[in-house]
Amino acid sequence: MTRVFLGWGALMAAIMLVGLLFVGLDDADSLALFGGTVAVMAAIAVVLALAGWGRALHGGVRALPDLSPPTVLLGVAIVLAALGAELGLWLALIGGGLALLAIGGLVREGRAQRRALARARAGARAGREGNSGRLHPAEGYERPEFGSGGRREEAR
Amino acid sequence: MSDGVGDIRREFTDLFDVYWAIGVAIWLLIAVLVVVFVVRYRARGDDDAAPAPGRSGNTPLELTYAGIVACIVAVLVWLTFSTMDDPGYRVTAQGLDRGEPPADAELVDVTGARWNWRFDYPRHGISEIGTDLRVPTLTLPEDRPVTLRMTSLDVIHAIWIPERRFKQDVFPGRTTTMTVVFPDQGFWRSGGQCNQFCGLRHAEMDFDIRVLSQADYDAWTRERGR
Amino acid sequence: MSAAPSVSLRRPTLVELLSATDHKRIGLATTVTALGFFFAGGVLALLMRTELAHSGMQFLDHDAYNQLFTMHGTTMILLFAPPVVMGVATYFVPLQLGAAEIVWPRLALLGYWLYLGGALTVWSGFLTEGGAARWAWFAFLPLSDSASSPGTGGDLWVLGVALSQLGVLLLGCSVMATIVRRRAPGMTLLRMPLFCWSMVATLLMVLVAWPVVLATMALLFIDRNVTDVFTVGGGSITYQNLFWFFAHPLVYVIFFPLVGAVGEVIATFSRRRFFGYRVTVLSLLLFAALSTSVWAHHMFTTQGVNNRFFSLTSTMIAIPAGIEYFAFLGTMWRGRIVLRTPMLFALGFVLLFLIGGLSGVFVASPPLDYHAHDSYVVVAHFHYTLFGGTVFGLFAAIFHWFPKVTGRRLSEALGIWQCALMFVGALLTFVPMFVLGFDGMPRQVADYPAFRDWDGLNLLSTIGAYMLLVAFLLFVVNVLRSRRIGEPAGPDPWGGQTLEWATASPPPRHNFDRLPPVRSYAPLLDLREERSRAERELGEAAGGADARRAPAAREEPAP
Repeated sequence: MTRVFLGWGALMAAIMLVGLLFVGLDDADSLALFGGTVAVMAAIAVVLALAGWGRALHGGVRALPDLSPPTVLLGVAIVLAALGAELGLWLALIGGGLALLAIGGLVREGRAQRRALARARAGARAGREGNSGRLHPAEGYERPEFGSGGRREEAR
Repeated sequence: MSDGVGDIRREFTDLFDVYWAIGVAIWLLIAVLVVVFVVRYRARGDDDAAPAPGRSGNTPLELTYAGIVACIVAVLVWLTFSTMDDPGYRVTAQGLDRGEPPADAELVDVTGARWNWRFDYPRHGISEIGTDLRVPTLTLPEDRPVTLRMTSLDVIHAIWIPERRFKQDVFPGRTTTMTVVFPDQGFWRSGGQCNQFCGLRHAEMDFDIRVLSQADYDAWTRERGR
Repeated sequence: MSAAPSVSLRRPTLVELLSATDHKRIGLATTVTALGFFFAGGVLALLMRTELAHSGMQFLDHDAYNQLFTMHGTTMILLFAPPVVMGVATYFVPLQLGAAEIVWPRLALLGYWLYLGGALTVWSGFLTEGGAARWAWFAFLPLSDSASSPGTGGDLWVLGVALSQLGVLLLGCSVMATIVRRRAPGMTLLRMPLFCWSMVATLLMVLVAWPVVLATMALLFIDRNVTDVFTVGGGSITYQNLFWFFAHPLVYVIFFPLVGAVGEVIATFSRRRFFGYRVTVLSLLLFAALSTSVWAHHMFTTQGVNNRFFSLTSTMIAIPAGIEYFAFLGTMWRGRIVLRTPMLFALGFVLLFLIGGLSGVFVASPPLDYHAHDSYVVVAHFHYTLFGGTVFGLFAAIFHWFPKVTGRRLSEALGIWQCALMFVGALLTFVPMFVLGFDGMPRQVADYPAFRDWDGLNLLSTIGAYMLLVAFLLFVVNVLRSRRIGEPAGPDPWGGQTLEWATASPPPRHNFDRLPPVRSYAPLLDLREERSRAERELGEAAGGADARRAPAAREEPAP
């Protein structure tokens, strides 16, 4: 996939060069926008290559909560904070406060997720099979028991 | 027709006819193919899910086809660029190709302001100002290039003269130009209109166009001028 | 191959609906919300068409009309179309990739809420004292500055557009990361379904264009509320460059995914593998690159950009678009075409988008655009791309995937009526606009003089618009009917070719119990072909030498 980003960036660079060399594209706005596009694609490709994220991930354990109320709260908080820019500082402050609350919730969620992940890995090492037939067996995805924001999730 | 500036409307029509013919032909071709394929290859009888046979691609054929489309595109681009390169056409919008207005062109300074137009004739000391109650009239000589130097006092406007098939934007803090020739005398009610949305009464920001013979135009400038 | 349905039969609680991290819930919520805005934007259009049916002002005033077309454009092109394609992609890309989930589901969930909040913020402008924004959906400066357009409604528009498009960007990042990271074993890049590839092309544009609109809206907000930003001589040109650098890729962002979806519908209902897959994938990437290089064709009349360059790139778009049309036709050629509703909408897409595409080549020529620009010619042109393309493509996708999402079928009869009404309505509404525009009718005007003789064509257009209303009401009836008495769809009602049809309808929480092997971009078609080959061989073994004598006959379908 890294190559797709690189190749597409190269295509954009080629179009810009055609404009620059043959059709007299010389205004600063256009060159900056084209240059920025090429730079963004190159940056994405470099990040993917360095982090080794360019390939599909097979296997691994998933431990995502089914529900994430703090994320919703964060969304509402951002909207309120942005509206505060128009309607007054009070709303921005409310939004900011809610955002802090939401981030706290997300941190809790993250901790629970890490614990669940560790449990699942331990389970996998102990030779336990995936806990249900509903997951991607070929890939070894597992869906361990975990809590949503610390609460225990009901079995379905 | 005066030297130095072409008939924009004719050049538009010449170019348009080619685009129109090619466009209609392609649409009809594809529409007919779709109908023929649907009729010819429609699943008969029970519509079971049995896969149809056949190749799932033919790269040489596809590339040949892409080449044909590219040729059509090349012809169209060539036609467009030729029109833009035409010496007569080049002077119509001087800002585009840095062409110069013809020396014998009549000059009109156009000012747009929400929601009316003002026309100043610097060589004759004439000002034609539209008001809420009166639609302004742009008076022009017949068969002679007229260069409009346009600017705005507030927001972006645009002048569209559908009869000439031409328009240019009018900016605050910048001057844009366009040169038009009206080959025939006549009067066009609302012949020019603002074509860039500019607020509340944008829809009513128009002007009439009156084209006079050179003799009548001279008489008009003497009468209205200083 | 299908999994036993393992979804909960219990109705989800409100908290579960609102905060689920399941990509199917997020995708469905986004799609349904966007369709809600589609209907709202359609109502605005009907109000405008009603006013325009006759010359003279009948029941709106100029100010109301200006708000209406601003909000109609904003709603359709910013609050309906990009979110709806992101919603469909959030739902179906993981399924088509054989993935159990989306990458960064919280990011996608956050994206949905920002989109919803932003969209409501834009619409809340109607509730403010001065009314909603009235500066057309492109908000050119200096019309949109605080001196020319004061008022809270305008500020809410700027904030709402920024928030909603941030939401679209987050949803897009999540989908892109899923395509990069979560393809099933065996699914190489060139075995991805066409829809996923169309999303790759789409999201490449989103990744470069959407940050630009966020920056532009931030600058516009500062310009309105704090200090002038776009003041220098070329300031208004720079604003237009920035805005169109976002807004031109935008119109392809809301088109490509439906090219992908329509391609799959045509392949499925022609019982064929999609023709020319590789060339189409390459052409999509070229298409996306050109789409990001044409923005200033909206600025031909400004005398501030290089018209030749942008005319060249804009006309060249016909090449990748032509390749896609060739692939559509190549797929139907020698297929076994089954005319179900998704296929009908797909054919409507092919025919109506073509009008928009060809008229797009026409307005890509500056000498022609000097006449057409900002006239009703352009209105007709982009409605054929956006209505003929996006909306017809979207309904092809909806009718195709509705049984997968709900587990129930839609009524074919109602669907056929809807498609026919939409097709005739689209011709009746928008063809007259070409004539009107050519004759000199500018866009974004509440009224036109009676002496122009434009009344008849405008009335025709208004009648067409009401036909479209009836068509969409039929769709609502169809959905409600299906929820109550729609027949169960089963996992694969259409004979689908991609992985989403290899699981239950609706898919369980983690999508798949088992995955079929992925050996091409149509894994389920592979299985079907394998099965019929095996059946034939069994038949041969039983039938003796007859079949072996004519190997060519093996390619013929079973009668």
